Amino acid sequence: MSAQLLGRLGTMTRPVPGRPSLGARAFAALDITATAVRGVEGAALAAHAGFDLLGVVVVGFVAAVAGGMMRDVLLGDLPPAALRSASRIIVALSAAVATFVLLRLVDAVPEPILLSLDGMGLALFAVIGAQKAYAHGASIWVIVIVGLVAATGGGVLRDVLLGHTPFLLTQSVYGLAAAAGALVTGILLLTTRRPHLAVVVGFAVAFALRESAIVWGWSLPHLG
Amino acid sequence: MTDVVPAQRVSSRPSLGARAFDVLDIAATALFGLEGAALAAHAGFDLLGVVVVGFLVALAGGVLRDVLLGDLPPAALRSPSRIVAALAAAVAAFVFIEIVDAFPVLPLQVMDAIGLALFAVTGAQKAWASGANLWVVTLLGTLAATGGGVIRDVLLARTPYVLSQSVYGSAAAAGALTTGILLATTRRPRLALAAGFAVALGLRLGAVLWGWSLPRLT
Repeated sequence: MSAQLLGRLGTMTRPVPGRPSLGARAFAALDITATAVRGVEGAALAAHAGFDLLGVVVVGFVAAVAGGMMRDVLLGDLPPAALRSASRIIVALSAAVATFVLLRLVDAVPEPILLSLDGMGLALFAVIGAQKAYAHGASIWVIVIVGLVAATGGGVLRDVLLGHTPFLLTQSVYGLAAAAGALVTGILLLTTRRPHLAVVVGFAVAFALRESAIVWGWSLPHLG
Repeated sequence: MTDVVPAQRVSSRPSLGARAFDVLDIAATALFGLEGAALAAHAGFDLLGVVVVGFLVALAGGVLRDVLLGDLPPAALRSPSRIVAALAAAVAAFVFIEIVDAFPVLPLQVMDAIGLALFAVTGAQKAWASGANLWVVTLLGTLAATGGGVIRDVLLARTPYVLSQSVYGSAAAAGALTTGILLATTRRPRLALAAGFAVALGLRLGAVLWGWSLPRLT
């Protein structure tokens, strides 16, 4: 291993505390919540599209974890993190099955709440993806692309399976918010080397952009 | 300091049935290619489209399985046998479409079910051999068996059959799960493969014969 690479690793490895810190646990809880929300959304859409139980479970699962899987495939980190432990699989599958059983309850959740939770997941997956790409030594371009794919890939695949035009390509400021969050995280990681700051600021940027787009109906220019 | 070498879960295939197994696998690949190509031909695709769809139906499930297991390049691309089988089947379907169409439906569905069950248990076995947990074994067995069919339907712009109709993906999942459980508990790979194959095939044939389907809401 070259000295340069060792130096790079040295700046990234931090002492591992005996117990996960409060921040780390909050982060894990946020991640699990975001995965479950994605699973619920995808499953509800599939149930309304007339898919059977298996289809609902598959679409929910894909919506929840496929973005992270694409991220790991692009980074060459295989098998993907989602398939290395059972936790995400169980969360995504149980969210989808619960949605199938309790569809009326899910439909009764007010849309702004669901959209905000989804925006939270979008921002979270974007900055996690950006941070992981940075840890793999990627350039800023790749950091942004991987963050964007991690945040939106599951939704695109979900829409393709449902036969919809992907949400990412038609809806206001969605992919843009994810890309902006990943870009901010990437720039801060490359310039300050303070991972906490980078992740928090990137998350705030992405979430704020997405929320504003929902509240004020922002959208990018389009012709049709 | 002694390094504990983790016990390898790589189970050697029965040498007696190895050749028969390979023949069955390639035959199933060709059959999937033929079916996919015939559907694409009826959807008005040109020769290239027909070949692409047939090729993907035959190989994409296994390729996805290998990508997610990190076993790259995928097994299908490491030797020409499966590529040749898939391409030849697709071209044959295009040229002899009338013969393919005249083929009775039930034997075709039975052969398709055999291919489905085979890909599900071999996918499950491969995932298990690379150390995956039971959830992943089931997922990748199902993906290996049905991934090609889902991609086919996306390319043909229709609602994926696997996700909306009949007992197809669930039969594959049940077979993969059975194989995974038996591999985990008995460590007898031949028994696990045979039992998983029987479960998947039985469920799929039951669905073909008696029109079983999963519940849906709308």
